[in-house]
Amino acid sequence: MKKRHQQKLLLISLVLFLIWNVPFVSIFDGDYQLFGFPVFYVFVFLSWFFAIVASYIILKRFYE
Amino acid sequence: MKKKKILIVDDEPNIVMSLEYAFKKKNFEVFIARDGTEALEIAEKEIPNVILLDIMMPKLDGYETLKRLRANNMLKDSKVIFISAKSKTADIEKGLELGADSYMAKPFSVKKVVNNVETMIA
Amino acid sequence: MSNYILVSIIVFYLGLLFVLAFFAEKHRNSRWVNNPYIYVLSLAVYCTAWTYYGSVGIASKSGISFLAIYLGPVIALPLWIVLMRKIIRISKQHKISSIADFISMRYGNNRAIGAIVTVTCLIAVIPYIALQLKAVSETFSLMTEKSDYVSKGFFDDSTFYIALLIAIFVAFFGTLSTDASKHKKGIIATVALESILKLSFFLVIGIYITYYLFDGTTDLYVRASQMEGFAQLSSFGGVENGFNWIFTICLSFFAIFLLPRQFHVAVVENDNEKHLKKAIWLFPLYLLLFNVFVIFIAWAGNINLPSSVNNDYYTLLLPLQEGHWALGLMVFIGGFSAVISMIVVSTLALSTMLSNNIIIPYGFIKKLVEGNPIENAKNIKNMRRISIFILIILAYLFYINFSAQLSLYSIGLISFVVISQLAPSFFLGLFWRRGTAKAAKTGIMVGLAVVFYTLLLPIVGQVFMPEASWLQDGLFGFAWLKPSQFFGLDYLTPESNAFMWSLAFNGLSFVGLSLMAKGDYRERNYAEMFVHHENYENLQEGAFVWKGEAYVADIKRLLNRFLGETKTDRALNIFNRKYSISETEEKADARLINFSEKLLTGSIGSASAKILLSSVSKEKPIGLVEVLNILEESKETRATNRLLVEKSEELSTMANQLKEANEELRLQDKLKDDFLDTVAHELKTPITSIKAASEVLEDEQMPKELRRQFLENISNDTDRLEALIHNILDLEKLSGNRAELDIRSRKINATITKAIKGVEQIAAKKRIQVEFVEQDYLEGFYDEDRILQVLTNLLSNSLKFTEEEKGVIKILLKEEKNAISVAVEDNGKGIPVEDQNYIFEKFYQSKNQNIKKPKGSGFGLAICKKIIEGHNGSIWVDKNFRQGARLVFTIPKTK
Repeated sequence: MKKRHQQKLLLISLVLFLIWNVPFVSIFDGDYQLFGFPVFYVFVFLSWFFAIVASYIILKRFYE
Repeated sequence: MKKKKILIVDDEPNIVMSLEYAFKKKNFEVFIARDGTEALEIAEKEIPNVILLDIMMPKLDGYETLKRLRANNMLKDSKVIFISAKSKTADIEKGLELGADSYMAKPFSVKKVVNNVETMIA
Repeated sequence: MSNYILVSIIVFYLGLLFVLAFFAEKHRNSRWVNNPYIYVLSLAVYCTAWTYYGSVGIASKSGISFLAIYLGPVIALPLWIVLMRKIIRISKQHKISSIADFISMRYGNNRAIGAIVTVTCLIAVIPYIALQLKAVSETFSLMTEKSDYVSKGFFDDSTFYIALLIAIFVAFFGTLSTDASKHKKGIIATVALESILKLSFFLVIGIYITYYLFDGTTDLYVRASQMEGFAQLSSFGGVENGFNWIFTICLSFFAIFLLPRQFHVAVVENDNEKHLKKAIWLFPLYLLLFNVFVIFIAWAGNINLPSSVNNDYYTLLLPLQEGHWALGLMVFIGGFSAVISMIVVSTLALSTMLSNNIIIPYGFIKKLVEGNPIENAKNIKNMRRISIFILIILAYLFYINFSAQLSLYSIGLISFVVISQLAPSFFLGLFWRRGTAKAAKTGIMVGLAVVFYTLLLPIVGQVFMPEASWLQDGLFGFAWLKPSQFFGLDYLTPESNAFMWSLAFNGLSFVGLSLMAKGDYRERNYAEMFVHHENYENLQEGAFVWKGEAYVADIKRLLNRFLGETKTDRALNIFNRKYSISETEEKADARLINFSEKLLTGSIGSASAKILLSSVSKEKPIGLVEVLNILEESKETRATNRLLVEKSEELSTMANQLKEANEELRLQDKLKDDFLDTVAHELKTPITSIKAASEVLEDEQMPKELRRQFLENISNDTDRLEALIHNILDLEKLSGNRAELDIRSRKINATITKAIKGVEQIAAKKRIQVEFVEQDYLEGFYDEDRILQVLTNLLSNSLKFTEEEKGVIKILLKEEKNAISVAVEDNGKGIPVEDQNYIFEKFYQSKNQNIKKPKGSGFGLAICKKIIEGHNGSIWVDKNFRQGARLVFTIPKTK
């Protein structure tokens, strides 16, 4: 795998670390719900899921 | 004074002809051989004072001929001069080591050969 | 449910695992046990009873913080493409079998570090195992309806027997081989199966609770939101909580690398680094699935169950409350799976560490050196087996004494805090060359001390000295020394408090001490090897890190003790062959030392291996500069090296070809020299003749007739010179394909007849017969003059080499598919075998001709070859013809 593509994965980690921490995460600290999931969980689970999809795509495409 | 005898051994008739002419001019008695075996026969019979010996010859080459000449005690006073187109230092050294008295690389000057022979037997 | 039924179900389940492990070991090369999915599932050993039961407990009591335990790994996984790959490569390179080996190797194979890391792991993991036992015991009693069950002693407690069964399982499948780095396919297969079970059972129960007991997620949300304290459960809380949150994420981030069981499944058991490709996205997905229903189960429990029950077991209690025993049993088995896989892998990893990093290097090494291989293997295995039992018994004791005070969650977190003390020396050690052994030792100890004071002491204190005032008021009455609120920070949880302070002191001591004093040469060399591992992958056995004197015999004797004679001989054979070292070599070089160290590391750990080898060798310090120099050199030759290893066969054939080519070149060179000699001779002869003649012609008294003769001689010699030069030029022209061929359809019979006419005179003079049997009227496609030249040349050669009167030369014609072949054969002396391949080479003359007068210029056949090649034909010596020489050539036939 080329360094450039490895760095894409590293970026995913960095982004996850930032959005899952204060102060960013407190944006989603509210009373709303979506299909029974409080908005905080919606945010965490969705970002989690997108991270998985992004990693999958990157690895599928660029892993040698 | 008795005539000096010279034996010329070479398989190139044209070269032999010139040498023969030059030595006859200098009052030598000239014998000619076209290869090593012939040379040995004549040398044993005539005991030449000088033998001019080519190296690259059919049948018996110059080196071998020289070895056999030197083996003959009667010929120990005969001077042997190699005349050869082989002109590398290694060839010359080999010739001298085998007991030749001199070595003249072809193409040579006939005059020089004659001078060389004359000083050698003076 | 009856006690006995449940026990028999448990035994049956364990039996199933035994069978599975057995088959996996038996078919250890099958695709079923060697694929990326097994690898991902084995990573899921991360999800223990803590996940299975504890998450729900936290979600129902304090809300979101259970999630942080999984977010750390999710953040970590994408980094694996760099981090884990590096760790795996280093570990494979050095046959590392545990995290203690890994860290101690990084700091120069330091025995003390190996021991400290092992102790740290023990402190972290034994309570963790206890936590699992607690979960088993408590769910067991829930299932058998003895909800207030309290153990009255070992033998009365079914948990004790379950623990023993697990110990037997690990002891059996974990010690099949003395080489701890050898993969344990059986165990990994069961772990993978259990990972499937625990996840699917958890999902089933989640769906059951959400959609069967309630009307889906929205319904649950609405009903839960009416309960007291709900807001807190679904919200993040203040910024101060944010710190607890961050620290927990950090803790779990470290744990996914550092927990002995994680290191074991991710690194030691990894058999292909390509598995990372799947793991990096699939493992987070596994964790995500595990977490989706946690909050709903938690809320459902809060709604449906009385507040008196233990929140941790909502998952089990909810179906039981509805009387769904089968579902309850399923949940129990799921949780039990989570427990078993955790205990199995943890005790496996820990027992290896215990034996390789503490027991052997500190106690048994002498005994092992004196023992024979069979005994040693037995001893090492027994040591591990006993370690396994001791570990499980210790965990059991811990569970008996402490578990009442602690929830699953807090025991888990304490483990994480302890294990994270390895983080500075582990992570910084991977990227920072400067880190030293002393600093690593100190850092870990300082960190442990802080954890002990801030986290463990209060717990121990609560059990044994509940009255001690310093726990509340701080040591010596100083409030800032209060263990759980160090320096007066009161908003952190005890775990976050301990984590922050311990890691701060640990990290600072590590970095500070590393900067203050350099490590010794050995540490620095290993540091270099870890940090820039990619440079050393191709270095032979990492040979440079050792310099000194040792004898092969001593090393062999040492290896014999541990591997047995057959294995040792085989290993050394492979080694010798790999590096082309003579079997009789007496002195051992650095490569052998490193090779042996690796061999032994698998059995007895790196620290012990180092001690043993240093006992039979005299090591000399080797500086880092020297190491880097060697590296530079090896880098330059690396390309060739790799090729050598990978394509040794190809290379050796290439070498042979090269040798042949070289030989060929040398021969060519010699031929060229010979040729030049010949040319020189051939040129000198007429020149000498001309020169001599012209000299004697100076004599004016020479008779006219003689003068004419000399002049004619000169003319002849000039012709000879000219012919010679013409030949050379002709050959060059043919070589450069510059000669234009006048190719037309012609009758070959006519050409041959012409050629015979040309040599008739000489043949007649030597009384040699030339026979030609005409063959119809074959027509060829060729340049007549050139083919005539070839024929003439072949015929003159034959004439030259056949005896007068007896000689017979034959020309034979043969029609082939697209060509006419012409053979010229004679009954002469033939061509010596050693010359047959070369006679068509330019300048080549038989060796025997070198001294004797050559009978030609050495061009003839070379020119023939060029001409025939110009006609797209070929020319060769018929090697089967023994009565003389037979040369054959082909030319194209007219169609």
